[in-house]
Parts: sequence; structure tokens; C-alpha cells
Amino acid sequence: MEFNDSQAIYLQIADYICDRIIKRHWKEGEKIPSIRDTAVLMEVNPNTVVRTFNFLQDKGIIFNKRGLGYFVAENGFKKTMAFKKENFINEDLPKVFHTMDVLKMRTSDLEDYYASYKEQIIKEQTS
Amino acid sequence: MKTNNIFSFRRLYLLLRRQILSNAMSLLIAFGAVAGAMLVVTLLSGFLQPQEVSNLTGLYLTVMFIGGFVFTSNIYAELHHPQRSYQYLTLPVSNTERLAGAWAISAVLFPLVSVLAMALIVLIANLVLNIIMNVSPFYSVFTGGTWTAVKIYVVTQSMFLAGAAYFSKNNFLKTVLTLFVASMILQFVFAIAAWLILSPLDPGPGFSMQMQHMTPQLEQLILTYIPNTAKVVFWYLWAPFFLVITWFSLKERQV
Amino acid sequence: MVNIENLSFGYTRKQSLFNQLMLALEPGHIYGLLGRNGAGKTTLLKVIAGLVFPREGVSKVAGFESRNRVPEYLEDICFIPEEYHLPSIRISRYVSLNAPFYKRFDHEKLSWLMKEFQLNPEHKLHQLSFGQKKKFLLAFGLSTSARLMLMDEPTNGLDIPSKSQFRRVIAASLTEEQSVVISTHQVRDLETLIDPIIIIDEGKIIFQKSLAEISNSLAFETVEEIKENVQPIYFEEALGGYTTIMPNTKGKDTKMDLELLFNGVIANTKGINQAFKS
Repeated sequence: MEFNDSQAIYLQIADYICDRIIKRHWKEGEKIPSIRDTAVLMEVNPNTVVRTFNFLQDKGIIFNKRGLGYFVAENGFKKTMAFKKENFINEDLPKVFHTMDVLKMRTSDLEDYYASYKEQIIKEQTS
Repeated sequence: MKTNNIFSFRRLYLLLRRQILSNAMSLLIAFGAVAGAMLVVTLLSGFLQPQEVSNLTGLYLTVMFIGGFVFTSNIYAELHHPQRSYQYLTLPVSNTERLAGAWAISAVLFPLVSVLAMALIVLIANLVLNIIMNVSPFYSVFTGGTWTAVKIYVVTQSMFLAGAAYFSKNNFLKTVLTLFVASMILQFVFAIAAWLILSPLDPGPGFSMQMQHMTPQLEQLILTYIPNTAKVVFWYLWAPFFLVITWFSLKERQV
Repeated sequence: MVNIENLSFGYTRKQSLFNQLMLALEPGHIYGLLGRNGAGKTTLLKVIAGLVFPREGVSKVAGFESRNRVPEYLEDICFIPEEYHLPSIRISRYVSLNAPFYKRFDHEKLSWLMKEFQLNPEHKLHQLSFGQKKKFLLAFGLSTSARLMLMDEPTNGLDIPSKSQFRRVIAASLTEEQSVVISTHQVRDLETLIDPIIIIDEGKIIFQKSLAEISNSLAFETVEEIKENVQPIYFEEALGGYTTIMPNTKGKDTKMDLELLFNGVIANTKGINQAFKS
């Protein structure tokens, strides 16, 4: 996997796991790949994945069954959504707002762009 | 399982196996070439003088000595190779086993195989000459002299084993040179000692000895003690001394 | 697992490479050993492997003094040098001659690694390319189950897919009792794999921290300008601004830039280490 420079690697791996949960690849109560398998897949130090899993466990997204491995928590989907939303608001939006300021755009300008984006998506899905 | 860190027969066996089989091809080629050359020399001498019953054991033993010293000198080649030494030194064996392994191959296996090869050469030469010219001109190599030679080889090769471990390049030549220099020094020391001991016996000018002036103690020293001590030193202390030097060279070896 | 105390060493009498160097390594980690050219990374690995002897001080691995090179200790270390020479025999024969020395040798692991590295046991060692030989040595070394692996520039000579295989194999095959020390210049190849980071300079270990410690105490940020009131510990000019190392005061985890950290530690050792104390 290619990592970007904006975030600590263990958080980028957490992002990857959250992405799988949001896309319903891994459903609630399902086992997720082990620390070692994830480390091999990501080509990282297993200790980095341990940090990722501890982090997600603290957020209540996954939990550890002793000797069995890690599983998506009961309300893991909801918690992942909340976590991602918080992340988006705290990390991504300020950057967007900063660029908007630089380009002297207003929030009301965004509505038109959002509407045309949606249209595009629907067109792509129907074709 | 508790590991014996000084000596284990299992590790020695593994080391011998590794040493021999890793180099099996080049060892066989070198040994075969020399043995082949000896066979040719033997056959030629049989053809040229078929009537004379001859014995080439002396020649064989000379070749065995020189070949053995060269072979012994290179027995630790892996230890000195800049890109292989790390493998040899990190192989889980003790210094005692590194010593015992090299010694077993160069001092035991080598003369044993050499004597068998000599016997085989004589046998083949006799068979061939018997078929062609109906003669069997060669003696058996299994004589008392051969065994004495092998014993002398075992003692003397220990010096080349020490040289193999101590020097990192041109081991054979360096060992020969060292022995030459050491023997010169020893001769000089002995000459001085002899002069110091014997010169009081010499009443006149020059260096002519007067045996009648010799005291019984001195006579005993020169005729009994010194030769007996020399014998003991050569047969029982010479090789162990150089093996100890080899062991320390192995122990202190750094890359 | 590894304990080096007051190590002094020099190849010549006058020059000393290490001066009262101290180092302690624990099992279960992949240590990255970084240093400038000639800082003594390779020599330090050789000291630990018992291939060169300290002038003063002592190096111990699992209680055994390195320089004594006793079999039990040798079974527990595996040294993979940057350059090596292998005998002209088949891979299968090399294995059958050398594996029995290691009581815990894992043949299953070896065949898995050989498959992963696309090595054929019937191939002759001297006919392999440099990279293939290196992969074979890695496969063999990892299969010995030695508890300490010492690797000198392991990714040198490996092609791009092999570097990726290398990271996967190391991540997959290491147990909690094992430790790896990787000395490297190739920071980019191994950035995601090594943790903790050890930096050696001027005869001493000047930095040894885990990634968690680093991200807790240091922030790696790109800024457009350096402000008077927030002086970074270290900075370098970059496209459109500066890449900086700041004390991590906001409690945010940034991605460690290993090259920047290395340069920062060399240039401002005191400043960087100071940030870990507060």
C-alpha cells in the first residue's frame, strides 16, 4: 500500500479499516484480518498495526476476543461513521475553508457545485 | 536440551560433512589429478625397467608430504575469505570443533586416503604390466617405513595447520618461510649452546673436540638425555603445541 | 536481548570509531540502525555478531559474550552482510549441509520463503544473481529461528518488487521472541518497517526512540514560513515553504519523515532529545 505524507501511518491503516467497515465489506460482529496479516498486507511493522488496533478499540469500533482475534463491534458501523465524520470536520473541512478563503468563495457558492456533482453521479449510475 | 558449548560429536560430524561436501568437486579433481600423474609415472617406470623390481613408495610419500602440506595450508580458506569468513565464524560450532574438524580432515583422512591411493596405484600398475608384459615389478606400499612416514606427516603437518589458521594469505609459502627462518634461528642458538658447553673441552686452537676430556655427566647429557628429550618432544609435544596455537588463532580471529 | 556496555573500538590504535557506546535491545522489535557513511553501522553489527572484538567494554547477546562465539549463542544470531560469497553448490545441498547446525531450523518456513522469493531449490548458488543470492540468504537466515537477525543494508541490490516482498516477509515471519537490527541508508525502503529508530554518530548512540515516542513528542509539519515565536527544532527548505520538526504540543499524530528526523538528529541532537523530556 502507498502511504501519503499527511497522517501517521497507523492512522492511515485505521482509515483503511474504517473504509472497509463503511463499505460493508466487514460487517458488525465479523472477524477482521489479524495483526500479522494486516502488517504483511500493508508491508509495515506489526507494532504499527498493534497501535492501529488499539486506537480503533479505544474508539469502540473493533474489539478483541482473547485468542480469537479482532472483530467489528456491535454498533461498529455507526461508530465508524461518527469517527469519520468527526475526522472530516476536523481535518478536511478546515483545509477546504482555507482554500475557499484564498479564492474568495462563499459557502453558498458550494450548493451549485454540490448539485451538479450529484447529477453527475446519477448519470454515471444509470448509464 | 542443554547445549554443550565446548565439544559435541554431532556438531563435529556436521562440520566434517559440510567441509567435505561443500568442496567435494574441487577436492576430487585435485586429488585425482595428482593420483593420476603418479599412476602415469609408475606405469612409465614399469615399462622402462620391467625386469627390475622397483619401489616407488619414497616418491609417493614425498608427493604425499608436499601435497598434504599445501592441502593443510588451505584448510581454513573459508576463514580468511573476506566474503565467506562471516559464514564460517557464525556457524554454530565451537573453536575446538573447528580445530578438530580441520585436523581430522588434513591429518587423519588425508594420509589414510593417500596411502590407500598409493596401494591402488601399485595394484593397477602391476595388473596392467602383468597383462601387457607379464611382469609384476612393484612392492606393496604397506611397509613399516610407510607408517613411520605417516606418523612423521601427522606431527609435521600440525605446523602447517597452525599456519593455515594464523596467516590470512599465501599460507603455505608463509609457513615454509617461517619454518625456514625459525630453523635458522634455532640452529644458531644450538650452535652457540654447543659451543658454550663444549668449548671448555677444547684445549687447543680451532674447534677439535677431545672426547677424553668429557665428564660422564656431559657424555650422558649429549648421548642420552638430549636425544631422548628430543624424541619425546617431537612425538608427543610438537603436534599438540601447534594445535594449541591453531586453537588460539581460531579463537582470536576477527574479520 | 542485546546489551552493549561502554564499547570502545577502533580499527587502528589512534582512531576510535566507538567511544563508551551503550546500547540495549529488546526482543520483538525491528530496529532501524541509521548513521552517516563511516559512522560504524556495519562495525556495530559485527561487534554484536562476535566478528570483531571490542577494545574496551562488552557486547552480550542473551547473556553470552559475543566475542566468545559459543555454539549456543551462534545458533541464536544470524548475520546477513552486505556482500557475500556462496559456494558453487545447489540450494538444496547448501540447505542439507548447513541447516542441521540449527536445532530449531524451520524447513516449512524455508519452503514458504523460497516460494515467496521465487527461488528454485535445484538452482546452483553461484549462478544466482546478486539479488537472488541475497533473498536466499534472507530465507535461510529467517528459517534458522535465530532470535537475533543482523542485516546490513538488506534492500541493497533488491529490485522494486523484491523490496516489497522483503517488507512482507519480515512483517510475516517475525515472532515476539525475535528481534531484527537493520542497518540502512535506504530510508525510503524501510520507513514503514523499522521501529524503534537508532541513530549512531561520532562513536555513540545519539538517538533511540520508538515511533510512538517520536509521534508523541515531535510534530512533522510543512509550513509556508518560519514565524519568530514558534521556532522549529529543525527545518529544511522545501517546495513552497519549509518542512519542520516541532515539539508536539497539540497532541496530534503527524507522519514521521524519517529523512528529516535523521538530518534533524544529526544537526541538532540536543534539541531533538530535549523534546522527549518535556
